[in-house]
Amino acid sequence: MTRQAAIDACVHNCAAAESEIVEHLPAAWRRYIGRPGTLPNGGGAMPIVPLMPYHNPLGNKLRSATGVLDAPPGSDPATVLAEHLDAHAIERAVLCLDREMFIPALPNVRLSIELCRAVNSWTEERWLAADPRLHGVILAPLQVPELAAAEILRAARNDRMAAVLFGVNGLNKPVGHPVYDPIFRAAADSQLPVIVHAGLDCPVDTLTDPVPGGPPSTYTDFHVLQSTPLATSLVSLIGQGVFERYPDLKVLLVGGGVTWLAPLMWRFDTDFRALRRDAPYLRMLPSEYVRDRIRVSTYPLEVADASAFQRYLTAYDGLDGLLCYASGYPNWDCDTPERVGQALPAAWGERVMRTNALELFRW
Amino acid sequence: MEGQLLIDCDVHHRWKRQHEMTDYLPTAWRDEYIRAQGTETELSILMPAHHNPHSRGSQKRLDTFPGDGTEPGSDYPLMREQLLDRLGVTRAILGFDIGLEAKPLNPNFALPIARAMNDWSIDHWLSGDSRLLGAIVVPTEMPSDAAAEIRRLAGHPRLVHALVVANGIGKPLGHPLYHPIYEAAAECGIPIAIHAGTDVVPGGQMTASGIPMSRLEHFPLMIQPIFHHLSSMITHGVFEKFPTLRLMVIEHGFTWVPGLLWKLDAHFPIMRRENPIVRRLPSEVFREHIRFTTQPFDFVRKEQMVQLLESFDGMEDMICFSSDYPHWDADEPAHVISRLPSAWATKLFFGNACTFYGWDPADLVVST
Amino acid sequence: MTPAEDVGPLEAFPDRRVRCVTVAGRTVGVVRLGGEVFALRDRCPHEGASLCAGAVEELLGADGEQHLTVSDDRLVLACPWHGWEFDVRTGRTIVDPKIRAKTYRAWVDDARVFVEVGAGADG
Repeated sequence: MTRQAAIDACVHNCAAAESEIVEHLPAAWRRYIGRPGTLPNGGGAMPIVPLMPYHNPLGNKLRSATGVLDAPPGSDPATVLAEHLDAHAIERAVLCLDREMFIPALPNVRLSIELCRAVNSWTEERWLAADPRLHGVILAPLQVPELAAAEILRAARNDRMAAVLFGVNGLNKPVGHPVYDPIFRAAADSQLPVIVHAGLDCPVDTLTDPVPGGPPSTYTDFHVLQSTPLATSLVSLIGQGVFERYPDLKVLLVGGGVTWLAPLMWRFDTDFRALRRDAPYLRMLPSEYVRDRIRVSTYPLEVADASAFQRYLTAYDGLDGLLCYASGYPNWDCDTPERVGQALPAAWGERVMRTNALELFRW
Repeated sequence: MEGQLLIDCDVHHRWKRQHEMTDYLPTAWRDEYIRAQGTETELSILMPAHHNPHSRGSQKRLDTFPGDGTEPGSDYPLMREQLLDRLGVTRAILGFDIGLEAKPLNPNFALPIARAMNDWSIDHWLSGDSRLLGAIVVPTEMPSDAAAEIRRLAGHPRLVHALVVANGIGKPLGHPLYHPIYEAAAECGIPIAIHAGTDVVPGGQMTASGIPMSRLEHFPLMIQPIFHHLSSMITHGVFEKFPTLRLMVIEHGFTWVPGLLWKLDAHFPIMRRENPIVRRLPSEVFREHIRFTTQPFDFVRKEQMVQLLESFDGMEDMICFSSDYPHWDADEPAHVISRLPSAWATKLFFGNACTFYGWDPADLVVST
Repeated sequence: MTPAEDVGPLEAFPDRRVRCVTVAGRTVGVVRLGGEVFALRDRCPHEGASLCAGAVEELLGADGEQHLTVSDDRLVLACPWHGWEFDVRTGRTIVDPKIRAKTYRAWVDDARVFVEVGAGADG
């Protein structure tokens, strides 16, 4: 059966070597960072991409079947195009970065400001130039929201930048907190959605835990709880009236799967009936704001028994309008379009695999 | 509910004045610490916690105030009238309001306070009306002290579970450092219970990625810690190490259970690598060892609720009715059963609780 | 239809408060706003609480800048349990007009309060 081409809302591309990004820094900063190989053991360059503390013992990434040997998965545009977009008839893909998304939380805030601009420049040159199906996200220095707004407005001039990435927190304030307001204003003014990616407090430098109840003590705990920062983000964005302030703003929540949404929204709506006084500027139920302004990636899909899963998903009114297919390629938990298409109700295919994304990204 | 056995798994009781409870402290703690400023003035036992106050301040049903200046839940005659007699409750499990006093600033004070709370509860509430049952509140921050308190009181016929409250250490509750608590409970043959609010105390982290800014934001997010507590109890093999342990999850609702279990089951190959003690699928562990109270119940259409729950086998065996009287968000039994399959009523209202606590339904008295 | 019942002098109903009366066997909450009165059934459609035990409040709202405002003349009766806010004029909840408490006709005549309850009058 022929299938419409899918749109992939999240691919985790990355730099093969940090020097790829450093090259896009101004000269003085390149000198400050240094060059690999100029000191013993190949050293001489300051590491610039924050590390990820949580590792799957079975491997964090897919093993690549083709492409450049020894290159980190997701670092070679040709491989990404051949192994993923071509192989699965993906019409467009949004490149959401990998650990680079943590750069805005670097304690060296001046460096993080420069690096965001450098990453955006690297995205344009290395990735967007490689194929018209590839779209980028704008990395912004989130610790300094006014500067983030300026970088968003600048980088948005390239219409192949599809979204603003909110991939790391670190101020221990939820994403909807007024401190972040300039970022949403700039995204709305640029007519770009904001992608809030799970993780948010992963880097150890954020000093807060990425999950509730304390620091994760296993990778399993960490990974199973990836929806929790997305839930906090959703509740704070709605509760703080961000969608009322910015009628053009839309948000995509990526990386927590889909089963968390119904229980949360049933509870949020129920609580709003009781606690409206806390947010009297809201004109609709929270679930109606979700319907109008928030989308959730299918990645990583929690498929068990397909028929049980579909009964669960269809219990929530209109979930098919809320989901956008995202692969998460090349992470170990990535989903092919075929797998997602089979797991979801057949009638949902077109919307989830394509048209919800067309609408979200204004394509 | 007339002619219906009804077990209420979550009711909140409290003292009228703090000294009612602190009178049970050892003299030195009472006189030289709590009352050092003079017998009329006591240090407040309860540490300020992350609550996001209710607009207008009150977190209780407005009609539950006794009228003598004391707090809802402190008045037995009113509780009897409004809850026990009105709803025809067969058994009600009292769980303090909500027990966070057991996490004081000073960890050396935690066990003395927990003991005082338990001794007060036994004397003031559990020596009369046989419908009332209670919890052993334990100082979670000091696991070996918590274990000692469980061992001290587990034989009391009216104490039905150990309440693991106030996670001030900031580790998920499955972490090995808490295992002495579970070992003691399993040894003594009583379940443990976790009530919502464990991580609002100083040292805890209630929500991922920032704190809620209002009660409206707080409430949909306040159950987040239990996802981690349960996940960590699986990944650290708590129910493999202590095969007779049972857990009642109170005031977290239950609609999120299928989603969490699908995620956990999918991680089975990984969790076994991380901890070889993990032996069974998480969903199997939940079905055997863990139960959930129904409150707070979502205001959604019945067919939606039923469809979601029936997508996961066996939910009807896993939920137990709770009111949460006298809190503002308490539920009425008629409301809850109106949104569940009526065939679930027997299990919901007493069957599952009887199985969980080891009670014979024939011993329960039907209200008339 | 049951005839209107005289439930007492207006002065017996404190302004901006709810007072319970029994009319034709039904418990009814009467809310007074100056010279006007409104009547709601004493039963919350959520879980059945007595609305008469609730609180009458001026409606809290927000202006276009999301600044908090308070209404002078729009009252809500908030349920004592979950705090659902019922517009005293229409019985509808503020957050969701599809949900409402039953209302009855109520009026003031010659400084006395009348409530009409009965077939066709249950809002």
